[in-house]
Amino acid sequence: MSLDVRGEIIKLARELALEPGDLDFLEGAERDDVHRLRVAIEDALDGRNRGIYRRIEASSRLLPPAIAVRIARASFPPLIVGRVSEEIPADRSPKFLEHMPMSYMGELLVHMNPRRMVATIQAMPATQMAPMIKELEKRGEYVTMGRFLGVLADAQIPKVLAVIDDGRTLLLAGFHTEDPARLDNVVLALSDTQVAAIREAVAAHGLERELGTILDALSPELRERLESNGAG
Amino acid sequence: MSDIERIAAVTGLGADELAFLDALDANGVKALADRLEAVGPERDREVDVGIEGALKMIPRLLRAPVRKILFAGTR
Repeated sequence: MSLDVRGEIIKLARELALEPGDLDFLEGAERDDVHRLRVAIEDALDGRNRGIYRRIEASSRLLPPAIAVRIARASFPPLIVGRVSEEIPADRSPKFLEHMPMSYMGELLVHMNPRRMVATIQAMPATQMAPMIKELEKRGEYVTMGRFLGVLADAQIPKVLAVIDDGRTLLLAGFHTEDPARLDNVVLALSDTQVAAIREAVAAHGLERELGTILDALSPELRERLESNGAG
Repeated sequence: MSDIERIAAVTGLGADELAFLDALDANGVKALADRLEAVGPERDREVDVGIEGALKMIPRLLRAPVRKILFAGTR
């Protein structure tokens, strides 16, 4: 669940192929209500085709990964390829990644639901994840970063965060995390340099509200870590 | 059927879970219900068209086994 109703609206708009502005009327609702609605819609739409997504992935095993990727890119929109990719087991995903341009991978990541691929994500080495994180950062995809951040294994968090220097990216990825209970681990994994970068970003970009929301979700000692660096 | 009932029919959520929509802009709720009813069939079509296109690109020798896997069940 996002910390803020806007994050839920952005995710719901993506699922429905709408612009977030089309769902502005939901701004007046409670975050928990919009979260429940968004998850139910994602599950209902996904349930219509999950069987065929599984069979598309199964049939792709008959083809060399390079050809499977080429056919997928030419035949299906990124949302469908992303959903089929959720079915690729952890041991096969590196073979596909070798043949996927990172810019295209970025398009897929936006449409993938990390809740459905926890085992695959948690089996992924940081070296494989780093270029994806950088691609999402380049695209300003903080909502997607937050979704993935929410399902990382504890041991992965420091390694993944290590590739992000930009304070604004760190703050907004945390702000959009799918699982605010993980924020303690995120803040614990930050270097002093990253904490300072977050503080600078808050001042430079007027992100006091986002920081305040994160601070509210932290345990007291970790809240102090961000605040003692002058943030808040 | 009201717009909230239409949303309930797609999502499976109960009336109590959707009660919050009553307090929101009615035009927005209607547009959401319309979109929800449209997006499922749209996505089904994208999958079907994609499969047709993919089958044409698959080497002829592999088409039969791929088709067998793809059409082994319902959606």
